[in-house]
Amino acid sequence: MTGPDVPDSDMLNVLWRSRADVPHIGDPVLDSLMEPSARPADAADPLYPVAEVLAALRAAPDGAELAGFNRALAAFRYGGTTPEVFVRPRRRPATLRRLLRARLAAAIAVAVTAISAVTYAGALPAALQRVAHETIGAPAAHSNGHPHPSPSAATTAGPAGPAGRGPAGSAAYGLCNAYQHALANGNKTEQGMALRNLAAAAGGQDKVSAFCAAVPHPGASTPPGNAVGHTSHTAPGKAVGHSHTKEPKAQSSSGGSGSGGGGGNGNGNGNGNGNQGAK
Amino acid sequence: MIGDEFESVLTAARGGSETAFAYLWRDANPALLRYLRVIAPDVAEDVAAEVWLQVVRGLAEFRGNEANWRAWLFTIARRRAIDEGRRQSRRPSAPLEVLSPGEAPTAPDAAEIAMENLRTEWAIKLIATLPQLQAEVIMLRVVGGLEPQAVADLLGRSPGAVRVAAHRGLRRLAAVLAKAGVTL
Repeated sequence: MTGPDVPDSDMLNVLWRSRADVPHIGDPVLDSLMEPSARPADAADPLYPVAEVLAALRAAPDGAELAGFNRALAAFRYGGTTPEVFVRPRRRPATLRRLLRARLAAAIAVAVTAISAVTYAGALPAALQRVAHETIGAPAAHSNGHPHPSPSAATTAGPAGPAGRGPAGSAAYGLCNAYQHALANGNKTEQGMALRNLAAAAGGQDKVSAFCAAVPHPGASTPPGNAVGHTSHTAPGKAVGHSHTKEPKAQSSSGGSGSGGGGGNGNGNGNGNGNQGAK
Repeated sequence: MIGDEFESVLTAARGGSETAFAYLWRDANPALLRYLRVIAPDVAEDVAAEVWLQVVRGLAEFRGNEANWRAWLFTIARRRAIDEGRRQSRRPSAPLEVLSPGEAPTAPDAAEIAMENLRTEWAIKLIATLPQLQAEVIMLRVVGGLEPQAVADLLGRSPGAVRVAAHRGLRRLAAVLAKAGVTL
């Protein structure tokens, strides 16, 4: 029942009814609620829950919100161009992606297993044997298509990595280094910025020392294969590389193509996990 | 917000200081992400990354104080979100019952940080249930820290319209929360 001659009490208006539960709130009160200095405790009773919601909106950042820094830093370093590594392919729905990844891994596994079995048995004609051997033994041409993912997966997984999980990235190293450099050479502003950046990554100013103590020098960092392994999502690729190839050369290049496939994934997940742990 | 140091931080970033850039990024990115999660929830992270790409490109030309800086960032964020053409993909938010914040901590301590994040998550989703203009104005004012005039410029509306939208949004929130009997 609606219309100009219908009494308010008979109007079908859900919003009206729910608003009637709340005493009228003046505009100035609402304005003050949005001020940066507003505190829920100061809010009048009917507005207290709203003030709490607004306070939650303003809450300190969580780790995931600070996880995309490597991408931004890369843009900064490259003057506003995104290195290939950071361009994420358009995402397929997660289930489809997982399925495809699993099928790809399975296909590679089957192919590699079959070829290696036959090859190592020496059952192929010589030419084919050579091709197969090159395919298994030296897929370098293939892995060259993705020159960046391995090292960058290692560095991007690392910096977000919390002290507890052994941060191994150049960005984490860079934060610690920048702080030390600022202490030695910088002015107060530079020192303050460096410390706060570092504290954000470490999960608090009191954790800075432990965080930096756990950051290895990039030159001494773990081999790409292992570092990529930190991002557990690249495990399928890694498993293929290790379980079905016998030669060291094959191992490293398979590792390369494995992380190429999982590279984008590894970046994202590595960051997220790392920061969750960092809190 | 960075405050008094802003100018020197910006100058240092313009001069190539990664520390200064990290500081700027850390200060603004969470707010950008929260805003984007209301207007472009499915692509918030990607849009935020694009925003910083554009910021880096425009850093040398940027002139202004911190308020101008924030307004610039959110203007880019909004344009990028629109460019993506994905605002239509805005999903209807889950009903309030599903998103109940549970027992809220009164005094946040280390053990309750996770809960705090959940509350932020929940608050963002709650704001996203408001009509778009109201949600956007509230996010830009509260999370973006923009003045009403800056919000009006950014949205291409009059300051009066922005103010009314904010009030409506907050009243609506109050009503929804009261009706749901939510105690935070």
